[in-house]
Amino acid sequence: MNNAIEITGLSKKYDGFKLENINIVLPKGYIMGFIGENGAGKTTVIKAMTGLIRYDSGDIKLFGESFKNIGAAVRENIGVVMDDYGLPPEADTKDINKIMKGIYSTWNSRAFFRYTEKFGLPQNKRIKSYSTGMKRKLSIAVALSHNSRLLILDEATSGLDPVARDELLDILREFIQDEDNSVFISSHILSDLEKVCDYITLIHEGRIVFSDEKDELLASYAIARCTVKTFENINKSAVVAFRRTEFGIEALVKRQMVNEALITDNATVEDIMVMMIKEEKR
Amino acid sequence: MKGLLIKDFINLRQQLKIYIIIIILWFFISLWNGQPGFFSGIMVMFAVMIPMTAVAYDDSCGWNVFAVTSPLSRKKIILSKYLIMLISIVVSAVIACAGSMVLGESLEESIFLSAVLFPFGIIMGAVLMPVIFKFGVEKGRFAFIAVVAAAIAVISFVGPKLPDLFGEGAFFNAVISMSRWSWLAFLTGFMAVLGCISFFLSVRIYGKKEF
Repeated sequence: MNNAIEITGLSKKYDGFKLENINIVLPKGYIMGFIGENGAGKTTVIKAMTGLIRYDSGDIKLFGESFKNIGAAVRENIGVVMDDYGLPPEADTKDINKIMKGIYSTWNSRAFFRYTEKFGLPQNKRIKSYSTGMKRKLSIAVALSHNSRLLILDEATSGLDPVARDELLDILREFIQDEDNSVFISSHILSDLEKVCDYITLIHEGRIVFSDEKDELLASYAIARCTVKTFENINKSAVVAFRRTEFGIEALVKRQMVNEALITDNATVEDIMVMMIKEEKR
Repeated sequence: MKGLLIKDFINLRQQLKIYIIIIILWFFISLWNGQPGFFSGIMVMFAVMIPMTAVAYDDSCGWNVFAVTSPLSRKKIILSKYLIMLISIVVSAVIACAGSMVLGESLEESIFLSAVLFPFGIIMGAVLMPVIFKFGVEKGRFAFIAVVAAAIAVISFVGPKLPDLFGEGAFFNAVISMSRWSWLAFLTGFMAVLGCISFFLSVRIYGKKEF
């Protein structure tokens, strides 16, 4: 069993939106960043993966086991943090510990309190008085305090200040040190994902645009900023997307296919995503 | 599932304090009214309000999204709500019995009066729970008010007359061999079956729900 997540041909139809033939593979021991515009389908895929919604066709396997057969034991190994889930408003951290002890058979109280202390979460305040960032940190502490082998995080970094986000990335790096652990994280903060992910998957309008190793992605693409004349001389099949700027043309090109003489800059994941999507829209 | 019951209790803590004050208030109203049946009627209402409030808390804070992704099966999640309802009914029945005795009824009458709560509490819960799981707590509240009004009317009116009805009344000639306690036991058993049907219906509704 080498893959933490294996999604094949996943499809789901809503009024006005559909997921089409989603294929994603996350090998065990790696971090995959899941990116896309708002409404592209990220949360829908994640909800299908975690049993929150049903899907029309396709197969989802977690740890090699088909989702339909996943029982409580496997769920002990999955830690989920979602944007719209919440913990009981009247509880404080001690209460949460009691509650989770009665839900997870692998619950580790010591680890939980270690995380709450590390995140600076107050001990005797009720959750209803927590800020968004604090609620998010608490959810993450919960996800890390049972025998999680797979963390699924949907927009887990939104609402966190830069320092907290950096702390979270450190935690993910620490988590992934164990080869058996994997992370699937969706986020709009692409610079974060670029720092920490091994794989990047882009979804747009319900379809997967690419799902590649991050290093390969960054090596394959480059940004060419040039005059219109120079641009016209570039091999057209090398150009993935382009836009007009004040100074000429900014183009996303495939490195291997352009003339070595052409001056290019490194493309970031954000460059790749934004330009590809804008090109699709033209 | 123990975790779920702990969670509901923690959420309901504050509300319970308010309910206790209201119960004391109603008790004195019943005392002034001279109607122990009135007090029992209110206790039925509370018995059903408590699981409804528990579901409302879950819905409003997004707990279900977490619970469904945890090792808890959807069936266990529903079971915990029905358990809370059952616990509420039992506790309400005990309070109603004690209250009734203080209000002047004999022990046997008090026990019988509060035992009548069981069928009414279960039937209300059995009807309301699937409605709440399907349509949400807000719509459930309308259904709740309708059922409570009916329940209070029946209990307040019929309550004090129960000893007579169960006595030599012609209505019960057909089951004349059954004492009023047997009849009540039969009714409670029937309601328990209804409760089970309601449970399986709720499990089905919740099982299909998308979050």
